[in-house]
Amino acid sequence: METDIFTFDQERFSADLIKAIKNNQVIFRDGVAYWKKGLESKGIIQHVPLKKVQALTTETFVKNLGSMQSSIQGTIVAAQAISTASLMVATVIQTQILSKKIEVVRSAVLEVSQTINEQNILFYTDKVSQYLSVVQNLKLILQSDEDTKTIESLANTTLADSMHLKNHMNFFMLNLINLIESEQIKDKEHIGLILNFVQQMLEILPLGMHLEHILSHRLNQYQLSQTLVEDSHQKYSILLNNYRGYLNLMNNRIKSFELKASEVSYFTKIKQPALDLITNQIHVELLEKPANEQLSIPQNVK
Amino acid sequence: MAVESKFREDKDLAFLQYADWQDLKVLANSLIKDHSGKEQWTGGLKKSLDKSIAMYPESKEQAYKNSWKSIAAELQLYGGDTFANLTRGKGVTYQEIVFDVAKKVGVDVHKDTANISDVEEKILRLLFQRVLTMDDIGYMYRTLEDKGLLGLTSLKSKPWNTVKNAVGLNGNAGAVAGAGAIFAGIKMIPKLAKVNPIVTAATLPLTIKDFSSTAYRVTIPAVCIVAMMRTKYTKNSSDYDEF
Repeated sequence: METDIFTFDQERFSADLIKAIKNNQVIFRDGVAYWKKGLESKGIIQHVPLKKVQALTTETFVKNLGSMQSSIQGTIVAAQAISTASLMVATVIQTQILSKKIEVVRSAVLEVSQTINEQNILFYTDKVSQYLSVVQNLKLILQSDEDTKTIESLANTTLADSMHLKNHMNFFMLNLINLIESEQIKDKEHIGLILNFVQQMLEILPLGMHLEHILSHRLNQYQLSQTLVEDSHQKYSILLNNYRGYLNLMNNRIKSFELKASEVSYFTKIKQPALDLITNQIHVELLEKPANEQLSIPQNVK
Repeated sequence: MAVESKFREDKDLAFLQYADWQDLKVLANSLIKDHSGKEQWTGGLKKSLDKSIAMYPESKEQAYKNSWKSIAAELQLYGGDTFANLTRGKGVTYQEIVFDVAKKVGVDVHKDTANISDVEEKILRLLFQRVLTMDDIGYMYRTLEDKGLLGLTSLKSKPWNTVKNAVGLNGNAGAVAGAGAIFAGIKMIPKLAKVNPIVTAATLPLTIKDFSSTAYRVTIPAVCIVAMMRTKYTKNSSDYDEF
């Protein structure tokens, strides 16, 4: 199946927008360029014009997906100066990437729940499945061209589910990392499955969190949208720091000969994807930057 | 020959892979030269370093950083008994070296519970009354020389202290007598053929033992340098985290 990918058409940017970009006064959100907070000008600068950049088969596009973000970033390098997050989300919405990724995470969840038959883990893996469905729904709603009023009720329910399940995810993943780090899970196969799941979730969570933030923004909940992304950024940072702490602990133990790499093959397998996750900084584009940006609230909703 | 292949996996020396190359050079030199810069003990490390420098002619930093295992291996070999190394092929772990040096200089440690960096700190405090930094290398060597802990180098400037140390810092009357015998033996070595065979027979076993067993003249300054390098590393260890 061939998929058209759209990106910002810089040639059709207004003079105001070009000037504002040069002066670092713009925030791109959900396909719209806004003035940053605290400037003389307020509200929308321009609805950003789009152009078709390429037609790819989805199969080609996702063929070599080791980590999702690395592939997406390849398509947006040229326009990185404008807004990586906007382009990333636009690409995700326009393609099957998210669905493919959700399939990968689902199979990781299945493996965990089937192999580690513990009551609390089963409870939370069920929540993970629910959360993945919610992320899929967030994407679907953002993809639809329906008027905001038509989708408002459905969107608000989806948002509420997303906020609720996101907290479950956060709690569950923190616990899993802690269980592994404190060596309460001894079986190496179990550790490998859990690490793979944590890695996959850490790749997909920033997207889910960003979609939630954008959907809230589309519903004109400007302040809530900002609060959501700030909260998500904080939660994700804590998760990622915990994960990095565990990875560094293991890596340093191997490098100082306290552990043999051959004895912890599960770690060797996860090492490169984990390095990609950290170096590609998907969370910075999707969470940290929007959390630190304050756009001026459009005048008509004040 | 001390080369990388003789390195024993050693958690207490693993941090050397992150060390500054200038510090590695100081440590390597302590294993090759005396503090005046004169090559004294040209084991395999010298050849190994020369080879590495030839491989990286544009960067001494690379040459030394890639040689950290060779440097560590040389230290491990010094820590072992030279004759035993001939059959064993590899040296001893750094933990063994530190405990040995601690015992030699008079630091009281409990082997089963002591932490390596704590023992190192105690050694530095006992010898220098403070924890030294890599800027204090000159002071370290002068102090060790004054205390008679640098083998032949100390023997020239502080012969009595050196000989006393050869039989233990807290030597009793018997030890002092032994020290005298070693002193005589050391002095006789260059003229071995000319000395009274009875004196040689009496002193040679002690002299040979002193020179073939753990080389304190090298391991004491090396442990002090490793201790300083570890202090420096510990302050910034998170900088070397890969994730």
